[in-house]
Amino acid sequence: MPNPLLGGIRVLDMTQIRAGPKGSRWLADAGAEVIKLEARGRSDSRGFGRRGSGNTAGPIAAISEAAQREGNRVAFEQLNRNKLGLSIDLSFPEGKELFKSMVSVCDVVMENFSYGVMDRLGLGYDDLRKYRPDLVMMSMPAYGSSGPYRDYVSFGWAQEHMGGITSRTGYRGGPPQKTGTIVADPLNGVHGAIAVMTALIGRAKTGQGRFIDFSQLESMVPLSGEAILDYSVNDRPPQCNGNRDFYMAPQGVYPCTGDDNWVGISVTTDEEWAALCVVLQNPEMASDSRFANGRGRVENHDALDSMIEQWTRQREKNQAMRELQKAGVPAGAVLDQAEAYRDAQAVSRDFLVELTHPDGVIYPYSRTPARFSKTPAEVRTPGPLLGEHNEYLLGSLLGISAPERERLESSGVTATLSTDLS
Amino acid sequence: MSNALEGVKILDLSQGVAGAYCTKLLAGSGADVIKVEPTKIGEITRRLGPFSGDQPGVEQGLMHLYLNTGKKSVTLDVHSAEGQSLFRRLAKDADLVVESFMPGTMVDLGLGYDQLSADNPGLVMTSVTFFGQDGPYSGYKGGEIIAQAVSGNLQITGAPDREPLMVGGYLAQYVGGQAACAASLMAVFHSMMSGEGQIVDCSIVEANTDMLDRWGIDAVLGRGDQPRTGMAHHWTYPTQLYPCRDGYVALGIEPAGWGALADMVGDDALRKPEYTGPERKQYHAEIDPILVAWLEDLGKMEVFEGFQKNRMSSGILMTPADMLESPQLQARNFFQEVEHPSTGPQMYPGPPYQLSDSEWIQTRAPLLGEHNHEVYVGQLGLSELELTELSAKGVN
Repeated sequence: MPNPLLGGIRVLDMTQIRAGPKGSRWLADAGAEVIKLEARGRSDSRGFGRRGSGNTAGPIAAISEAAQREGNRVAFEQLNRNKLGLSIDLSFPEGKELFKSMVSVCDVVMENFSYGVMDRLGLGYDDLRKYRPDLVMMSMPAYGSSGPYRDYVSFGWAQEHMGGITSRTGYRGGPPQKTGTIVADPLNGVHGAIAVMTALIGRAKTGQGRFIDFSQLESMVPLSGEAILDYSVNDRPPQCNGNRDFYMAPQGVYPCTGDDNWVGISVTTDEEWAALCVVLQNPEMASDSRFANGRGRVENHDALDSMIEQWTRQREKNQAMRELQKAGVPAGAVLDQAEAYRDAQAVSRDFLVELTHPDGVIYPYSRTPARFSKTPAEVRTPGPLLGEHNEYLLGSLLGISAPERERLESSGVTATLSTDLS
Repeated sequence: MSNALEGVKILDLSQGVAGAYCTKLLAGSGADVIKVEPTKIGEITRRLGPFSGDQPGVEQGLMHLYLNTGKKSVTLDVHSAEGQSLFRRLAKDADLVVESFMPGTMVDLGLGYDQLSADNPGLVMTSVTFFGQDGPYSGYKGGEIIAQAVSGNLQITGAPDREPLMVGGYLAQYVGGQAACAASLMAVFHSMMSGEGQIVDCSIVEANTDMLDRWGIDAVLGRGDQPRTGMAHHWTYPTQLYPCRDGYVALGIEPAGWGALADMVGDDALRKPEYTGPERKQYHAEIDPILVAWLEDLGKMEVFEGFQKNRMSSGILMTPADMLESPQLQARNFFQEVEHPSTGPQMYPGPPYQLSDSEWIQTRAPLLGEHNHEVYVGQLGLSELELTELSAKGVN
């Protein structure tokens, strides 16, 4: 049962890899009918491309090609669940006509090809509007649809650096470090979903469709707005400050029992500082005038850190978090990735859900990070196989007869997985 | 021209970066956002550094100046009975209320969803908090590093031989704001279509865990955690940050591939057959010194343009100065001038997405209570005298 939240909205999704699919996943989770368009030999990265190929053991650091492909499948499932699979090869004139017919019954088209690809195919916004006058279309090339960089190539990797996120990410006095998950793609995906929803609300009010010119760089820069103002107003370039805050202390990660186990602590007020002194049972710390106010604590951070460490080293990270939080000190265990989906809070909120695929394989998924009280966004169906829903989409929706669909398939305009394992 | 969210009425009772970023985006597309702030001290972003001229003050915080563009500000003591009554009156006409109190607070204030929606069934109320509305951690205190820690992001950022490292700035909270914004728009859309309002519960931690994508689910499947890899991409090489003469470059050689890089560097030592495929990563100790020496004397823009000319997906680490001077961002008029009494005219980042036939609304952040008269007298219909009396009592 699709979610009525976006029920009735149909999205033709040509995006690939991570950023675009992340955005359309938000729409699919909320009940829009998201049609993932692929073609024979040009399918999105889904590894083996078929379900139930079995898990390949081994740490990612020493990943084999097979494991890499299986990992791609994990990514594909996570980003493309709840979507339908359609395959049309746009290099055929007939494929282009099919595509236009599909556009005529869709509300939204999303694509993340290089700039100009859609126009060269004769499928740019101005072309497609003829088939759907109130179309919302989002193009997401790396640098947008104009300007001297519009033809430049980029993957998500470069954008966290171009967008300046990493100019503040690094140990004190050290060089910048990359972010663990390479954040640009998911950040851009959610901005993309926001842009589409904004346009759909506008369309609901006035009937007017829109073109969304999405530059992945421009989507990153606003996430550092205060750093840009600090530079332009105060002439202060961004600095790497490790895990510390410039205005409040103490803040950091502190070692706990076990190997590579840490607890994050962040004291933001004098009240929380007093609470920390109580938890640590350290009267010396509480009465030390160097630590009496925030400025003093920032200036004497090193001394504070060693006192806090003495306490955390004797505790398991979750235990440390609980004791600190109980006393009113902001603290969080530094969870590894599996723990992040399975700690008490995530389990209590059913953040991780499982779906049994038609072949019996069970896959885990994380739910959309938003809970709607009346129209919950659920994980309903696995990521689609190539062309899995051609029959519904081309037959039921567009009214193409079975013999005609067979002809399209045999002439290569459409394809289903049985003819393409790549 | 009519902006997409024109006519959408939003009351923003939230405190902090996440809620403020959520409603900044909505205001940018034309929504009418009224920021409802505590009297005298204002909303918390006003008290967060950095400050203009490093002078703290409710109109001085750069976080506040940036995050609250396009909004109106009214002051209201929602802990007083009269303040609560005024808020309920404002909510009768609202499409969306955004709040970020500890779970349960809105109900305690007499401002729970049931109360606010009694006369306004289409109302959407979005709560954006660090841990969400229920569960054993829902009463925990949050914070930027806390959200990065518990979400699983902190553990995998930084160098393998050092402690885990937080991403600088306030990214986790911006991410929470993005999720709140996307979800709020969906619920408002549904309300427009069906008349049915509802509660939206966004957890900043969950929004950040969701960014782990394949790495998170791989770990759940028991295939091990991703290690910290410092400046380097975890699989591909030389996809890595390298220092150059005037900053850092983020190398990436696809789609052209290794041969194009070897040609650019012009060192035959790079032409070994074993370097051409992805297995070159195991030879990084041989290759790195050559790349480091080559980059040492080159400027970042020179490297960037050179790589792009050869169809290699490199970037640079852009500082704010680089952004303000970027030919690409300039050609697209990305930065917008905003004048505020505390700073004079300054360039602010523009929209994260450009909608056709739209203007990105980025009027300066409101002064504390700047719109009290407009909202309470003009909109709610209080008399001048009533407003004066309420102010005297400290209600607004």
